[in-house]
Amino acid sequence: MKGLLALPMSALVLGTVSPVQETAVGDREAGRLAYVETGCSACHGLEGQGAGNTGSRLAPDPIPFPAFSAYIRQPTGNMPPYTAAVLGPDALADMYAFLESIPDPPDADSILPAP
Amino acid sequence: MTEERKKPVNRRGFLKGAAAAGAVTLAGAAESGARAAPAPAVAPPPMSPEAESAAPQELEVLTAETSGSDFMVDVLRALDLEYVCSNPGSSFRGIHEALANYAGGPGPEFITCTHEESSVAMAHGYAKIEGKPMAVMAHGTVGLQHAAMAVYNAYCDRVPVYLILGNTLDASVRRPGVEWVHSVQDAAQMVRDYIKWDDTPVSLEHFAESAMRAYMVAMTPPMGPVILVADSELQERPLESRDHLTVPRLTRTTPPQGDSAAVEEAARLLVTAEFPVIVADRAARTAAGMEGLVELAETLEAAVIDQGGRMNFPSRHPLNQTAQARAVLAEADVILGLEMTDFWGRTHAFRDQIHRTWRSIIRNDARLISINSGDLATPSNYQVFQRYTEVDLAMAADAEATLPALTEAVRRRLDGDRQRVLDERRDALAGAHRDIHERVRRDAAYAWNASPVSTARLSAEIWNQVREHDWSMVVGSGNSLSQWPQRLWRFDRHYQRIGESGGYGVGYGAPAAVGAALANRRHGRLSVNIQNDGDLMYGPGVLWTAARYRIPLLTVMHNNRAYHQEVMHIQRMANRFERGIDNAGFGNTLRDPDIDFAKVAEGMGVYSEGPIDRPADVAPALRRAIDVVRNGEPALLDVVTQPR
Repeated sequence: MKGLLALPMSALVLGTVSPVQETAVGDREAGRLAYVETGCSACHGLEGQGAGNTGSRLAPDPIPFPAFSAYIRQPTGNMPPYTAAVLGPDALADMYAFLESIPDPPDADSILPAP
Repeated sequence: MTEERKKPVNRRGFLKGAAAAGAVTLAGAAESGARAAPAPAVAPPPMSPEAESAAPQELEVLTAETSGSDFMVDVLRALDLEYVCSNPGSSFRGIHEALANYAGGPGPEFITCTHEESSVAMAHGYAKIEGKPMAVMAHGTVGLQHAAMAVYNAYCDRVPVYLILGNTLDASVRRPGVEWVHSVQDAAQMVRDYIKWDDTPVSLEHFAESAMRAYMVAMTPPMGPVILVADSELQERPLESRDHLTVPRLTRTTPPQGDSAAVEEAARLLVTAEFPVIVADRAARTAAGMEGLVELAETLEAAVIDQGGRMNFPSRHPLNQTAQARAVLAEADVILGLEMTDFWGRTHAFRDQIHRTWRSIIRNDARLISINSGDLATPSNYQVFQRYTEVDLAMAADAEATLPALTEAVRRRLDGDRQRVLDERRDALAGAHRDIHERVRRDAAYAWNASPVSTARLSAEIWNQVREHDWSMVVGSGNSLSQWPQRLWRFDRHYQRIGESGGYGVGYGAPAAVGAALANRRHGRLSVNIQNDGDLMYGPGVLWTAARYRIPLLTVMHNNRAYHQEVMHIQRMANRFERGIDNAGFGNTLRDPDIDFAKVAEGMGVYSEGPIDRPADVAPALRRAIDVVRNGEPALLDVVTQPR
């Protein structure tokens, strides 16, 4: 079970894991591909920047992995559920690694005119 | 216009010499409006020496000086119709020819369109800028069939469009073949569910009166499309005399204003509310409408949510809380909805999962007030009225027309103590507005250098280039851009945003943008269209119309190479049934081959550049394109973008 440190999915879904275990190790490049191929970018943008009402911002600084994973499996809003049948745990960890790797954006004042 | 064309209509030479006897029946029919008798069956003599030297037995009347169409054009002139958008068709050839040769002076200018859907959508965009309808001419059958979706959009968007349909009612005079299949018993029947009014006049007097009535109905809130059927016999029949014909004076109705007692009650509720919120959708039709809403909001110091159906409220006004709509609605104890298309949807959260669920997002004790002209004309078949909303005080009236009285009633109820509460509320809302705007600027920076170009960067780059001009975003404020223009740009003029299609019928964007740009042209405004790729493919021919008539319009493609809304829907279905998500793009992408919109535009005679997929290339291309537009021509940039 590459990526997750011995965490059963049920624990992730229920959000019962301890903070110490809330980590994932994934392959950033594989995650980038998975992020695009599984359609995440369709609603959240190619760099997880978010898209208004369509999809929230995911990166940089993604939410902790357990909450990230739990929401993907059992979203409470309008997002379609990504169960393990369509998105395996390895791909999920890879994807998280990709989102963690996204750098901070440039300073808004340097690129956008003053209000 | 030759002197001949300017002849007064009463100067007649209709019955000439030996033709008089043979033409009496025809002239009489024209006078009475009765069906014309068939012309005498006179066989043309064979072109032999004997035939050419022999005296004719009877001379057939083949020409006339004026026709019913000339009178119809005079009627249209009286309606202040600047343009007629049309794809030419034989069923209205009489009016078409009269526009070309009789109209002469001030009269509707004929704009050639390459599809009837474009004609109507152009009229749709034009009306929202200019505040009056444009005429559209089409066949009563195949033309209206093409136009139907655009008519539906205009109906849903409460926009006046003046349609004139050609038809040949009298079966006995129809030309064999095409004219039969282009004729119909009841032309407007096909779209009667989503127009406001129609008529099929049987005489020129009838035509004139119905033409006035159609205009009046179209312009009375809730506004909408109307249809006048112009019978081809009525158009083409020679006109013997105008003595019995007059062009009536146009009656204009004043829009319906809210009942005075209801206005007072609304004012009482709003003044005594702890946290009133105003939600405006298709509320402001004019500059005065927007100013009226600002005045009401500032008098109440109330939060305003602009739904975007029209340019209702300045985007940088401190009371504009659109970006935190749900938060302010959750706090509201009184909510005033102005021309709301979907009050229920605004006050509820709906969850599109396998079991559809919904919940209210407002307080249980919140009082709802509605001012909505839509309540005056609720249709049956088409479900445009949205879900039933439990409103405490509903005024079936025009919001813009009611705002001054409501503001005045609010003012009368305010005293010094209440004003202090309002001042505190204003300061809190202004602080929240500043915070939100700063957050939006930071958010726009994410994925700034990504390729394809992010919708935030695309919007920011366009804003940087147009902000110093007198600009008008004619299309582009929809969800496909994740609302970035609304969030980033400073909208403070009533023509800077005109809402979207109304019926969500794809194919509205490009032609509506061209129509709106046509209206903006006389005002010297820089019209900006952020154009979805799938939408343009419905009717790219409108680019030719823009080039042909030198309509200055900056079109920037939001080319995400997909019908992306549908990609997301298929993805939702695939996830729901756990079938994998590899086929989310099945049948709903525009790839292989990628469409080269720059070449498409070039082929239509429009300046173009692209495809542009490097963010740094967008700004220089925009500067070049804006130079073209400022010189009075359309320009298109094909920017390859992220999905949303």
